[in-house]
Amino acid sequence: MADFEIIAEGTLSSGASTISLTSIPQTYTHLEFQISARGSYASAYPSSTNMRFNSDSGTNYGGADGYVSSGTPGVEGYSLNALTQTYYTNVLALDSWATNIQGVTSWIIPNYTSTSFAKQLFKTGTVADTNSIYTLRFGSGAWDNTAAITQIDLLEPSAGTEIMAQSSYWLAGWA
Amino acid sequence: MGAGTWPTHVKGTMEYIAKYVADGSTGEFEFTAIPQTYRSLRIVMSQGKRVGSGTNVGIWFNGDSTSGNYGYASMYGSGTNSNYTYSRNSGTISMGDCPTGNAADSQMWICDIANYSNASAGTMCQVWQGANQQGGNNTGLMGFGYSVASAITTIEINSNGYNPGLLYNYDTPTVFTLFGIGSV
Repeated sequence: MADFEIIAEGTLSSGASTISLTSIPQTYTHLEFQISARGSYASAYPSSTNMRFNSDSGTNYGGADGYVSSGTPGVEGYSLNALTQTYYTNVLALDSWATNIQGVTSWIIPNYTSTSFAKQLFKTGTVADTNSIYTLRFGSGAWDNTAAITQIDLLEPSAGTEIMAQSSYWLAGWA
Repeated sequence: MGAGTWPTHVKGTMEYIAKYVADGSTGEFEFTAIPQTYRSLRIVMSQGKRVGSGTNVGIWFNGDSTSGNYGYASMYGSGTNSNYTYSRNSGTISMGDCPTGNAADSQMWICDIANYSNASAGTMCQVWQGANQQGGNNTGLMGFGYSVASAITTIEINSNGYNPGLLYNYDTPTVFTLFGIGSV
């Protein structure tokens, strides 16, 4: 096993409501993920996709987030067991923005194979559009479950919307 | 799997592409003819030093330093102060200040450049930066967008991003290493 190994990667040829990373090998210590993407959600602010682990849609998630958006800073937080999915986990450019802009997000999930502790993730995400707004976010997410993570679902930005074509991602494992 | 059509997953890794080891003779250099075979790029600058004091280190893609082609948002701390900033009209990707002088001072940063080989999309990158300078410390988290739809084939790293005519040469033991991640 290499020290750093790509587990899954791809480029979206058409819009997708969900990206599911399944059968994640349990042979690594940490996971790292990166996505460069646009979303079809219509909003005044950058879109986002959240995630679920192991198909768990229960109220078992929480997280905190700091941001700067168009020069305005702020913080947001949700206690563990307050959400049914992680919060603002991926930053996406909007469909209404210049067509050549994607948002990029990176996150790390340490000790994802642990069966003794709840799971935490750390993420940073950003999008900068010369015709619109600039956003930088960093934060954490948590899943109150001691199960090893075997599946990650990146959910649609909002009901009926999509992660758009040409979005690109990779998932890697650290030894 | 969602509604989209995804290619078969190909197992890859993070691969070394090129390295520049500073010797004090130049303040700018380029990674050229960057292979278009990776999904994203990662540059690591370690133990960064300059021979003379200058402004922030700057990066350009494809030789383009046109004002307005780069936009950013950043959060940073310097000493006991913290702040944030953004701009829509930058002509460079700013990597923060690189120290000179004290033997114990240096800067490091990691820059991830996502989806760089997609010629029909602009390019977003993220920077994590830290430095020890004259006994103080600064750190920053930054996101940059290059709004020109083009594949990134050249990355220029200049020691004086806001005024490229003035160079403050990179000193030893500064090392810049370029990696490729995944495959397209």
